[in-house]
Amino acid sequence: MSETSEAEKRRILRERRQQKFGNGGGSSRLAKITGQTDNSFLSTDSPLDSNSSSPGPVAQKDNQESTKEMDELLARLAQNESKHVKDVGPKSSAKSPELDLFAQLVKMQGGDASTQGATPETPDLFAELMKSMQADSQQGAQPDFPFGTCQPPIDAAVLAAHNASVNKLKAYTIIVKWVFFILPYIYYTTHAARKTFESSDMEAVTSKFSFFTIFTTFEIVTLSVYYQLLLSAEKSHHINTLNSNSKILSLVSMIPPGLVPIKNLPGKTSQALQYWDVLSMYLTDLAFTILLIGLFQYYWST
Amino acid sequence: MEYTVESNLHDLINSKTHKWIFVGGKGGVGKTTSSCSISIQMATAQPNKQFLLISTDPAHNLSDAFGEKFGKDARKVTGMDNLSCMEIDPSAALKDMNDMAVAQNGSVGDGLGDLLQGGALADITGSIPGIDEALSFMEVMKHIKRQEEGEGEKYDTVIFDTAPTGHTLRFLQLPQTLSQLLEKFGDIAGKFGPMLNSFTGGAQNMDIMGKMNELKANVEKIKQQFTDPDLTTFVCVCISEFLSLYETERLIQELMSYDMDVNSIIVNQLLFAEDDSEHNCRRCQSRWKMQKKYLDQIDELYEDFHVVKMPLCAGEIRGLTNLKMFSQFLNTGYAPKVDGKIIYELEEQK
Repeated sequence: MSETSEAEKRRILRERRQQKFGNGGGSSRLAKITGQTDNSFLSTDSPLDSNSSSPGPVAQKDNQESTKEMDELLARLAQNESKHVKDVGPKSSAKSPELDLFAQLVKMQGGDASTQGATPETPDLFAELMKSMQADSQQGAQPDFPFGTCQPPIDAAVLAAHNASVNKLKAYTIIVKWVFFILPYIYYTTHAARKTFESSDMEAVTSKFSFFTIFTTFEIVTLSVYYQLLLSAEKSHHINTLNSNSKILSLVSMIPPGLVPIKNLPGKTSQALQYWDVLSMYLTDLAFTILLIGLFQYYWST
Repeated sequence: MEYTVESNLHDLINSKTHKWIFVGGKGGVGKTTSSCSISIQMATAQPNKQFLLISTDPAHNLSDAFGEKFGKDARKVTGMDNLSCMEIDPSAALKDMNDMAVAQNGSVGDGLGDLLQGGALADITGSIPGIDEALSFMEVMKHIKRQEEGEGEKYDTVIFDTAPTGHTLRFLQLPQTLSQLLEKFGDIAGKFGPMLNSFTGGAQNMDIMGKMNELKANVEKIKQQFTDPDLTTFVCVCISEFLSLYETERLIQELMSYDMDVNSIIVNQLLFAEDDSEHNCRRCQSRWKMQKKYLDQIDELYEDFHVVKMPLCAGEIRGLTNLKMFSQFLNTGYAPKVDGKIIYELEEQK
């Protein structure tokens, strides 16, 4: 027979085989095999039926199920168990065989051996990676980026505009605080109420209506208002100021989960930086206030 | 048009196009014997070509099958000019990589260098599940690269004696999985490229990206070759029993879902008791009756496959002589009435 006809014969036979296995043929074939044995607990779900819509070679996650299922079944049969084979449960991307190789590398980095490197506090790096791969395949899914918070790319002009508005807000807050309250209050305290202020060593600090008590109360109120205005600006621009601008946060976000035994390190760092941002404004005002009190007191005494 | 499908592997043995042949199935059905037999027949039928038989089973058997020691470097089978064997040893391969890393990067006193010097990395990673499949896959990629660059020994066909089913499927998933992972790493590197450059230096980053792209290209090439029916085929080995039949069917369906060609099935350890009047105990008769039941189903389910029925021999099929004698049935088919005596001659040869 000629080469061409041999090749043609092979092609025809191949098509016949594919035809017999396709369109639900896989399951029916398995059912035919298992049907000849009473009380067979073997699954008749076909890998082909679950993958019938995808053209080309695709490594299905179901393959792991069928292989794992077979191994478990054979182990049970060898021990003469009569329980019904259950499904092994929702697939964990952390147990993906292909990631065993890489998951063990994570274990080397200090994860709990019993959980193959994955704990609730230190999620499996490569489970995160696989999650991101799976999420990518779903339409509209936001990838769970394994290397930290994932923001969609921000237009530079929008970011610049947002930063400008945030800086303006900060500037106005400082001006309003100082011009309409802090400076007049310092003047009043050091001039009009100087004797009260200077009369006791600690009264300025410990008294219920002392200068620093009122000053701190005022600062708390103004900073709260400032922070709320900042949040509303971020919401309207859909930009997180810290995430976009903070070098510390971007470096911390590079640390893969599981490497450091702190859950949600980027989130905690972001929170800490937010608190520091507010606290730093208070400390700056306090420092300048003390300076001005000293200057005013010196001026009035001369 | 009705085609009759021969009950032998003559077409495969004389194939001039196949580069990758996988032989796999459940444990203990005769994969190693079958893969050795296929290799010997191909090497005998095509003396001008070079063949390589690789064992990807962590519990290697090739050395036992041929009665001589094979290692991680391919070596010719004694008595065959064009057939070489290789048993991939994960720990040795990792140690080699470890030593290479030490030579390139490690320095005494440096923490990583000390780790590499002690071979600790190889010891740890050698026990990683999936490492055998990964190393076998790396061998495949190495061969493709060598063939393209014309380096080293060139093999026309590589036959894989695979591990039991689960491991093999994991191995076959590697091209797809690696391809997806490399694509993801590429995305990550693209996002953090500038930052990585500032840490590592631009040239080193480019080197990593270059190697990743090269790896990705090789993986894509392998994917294409594994799904080309003229280049790659999978030979399923089974026995005529319920569980083996079930697992064979599942294996074939899994392979078809990977677009891998499967057209041959070897059914081993058949008794053919009714044709053997001299050795026909009650147990053999009973067992043969059971085997026939499943054989009928195999014939019905796999009428478009080359189903080769091989006998259960009186002794172990070990050594080149016995393997040659046994393997001829793959080419011509086993006729119990004519070839029945041979299975007892195998017993006599040591």
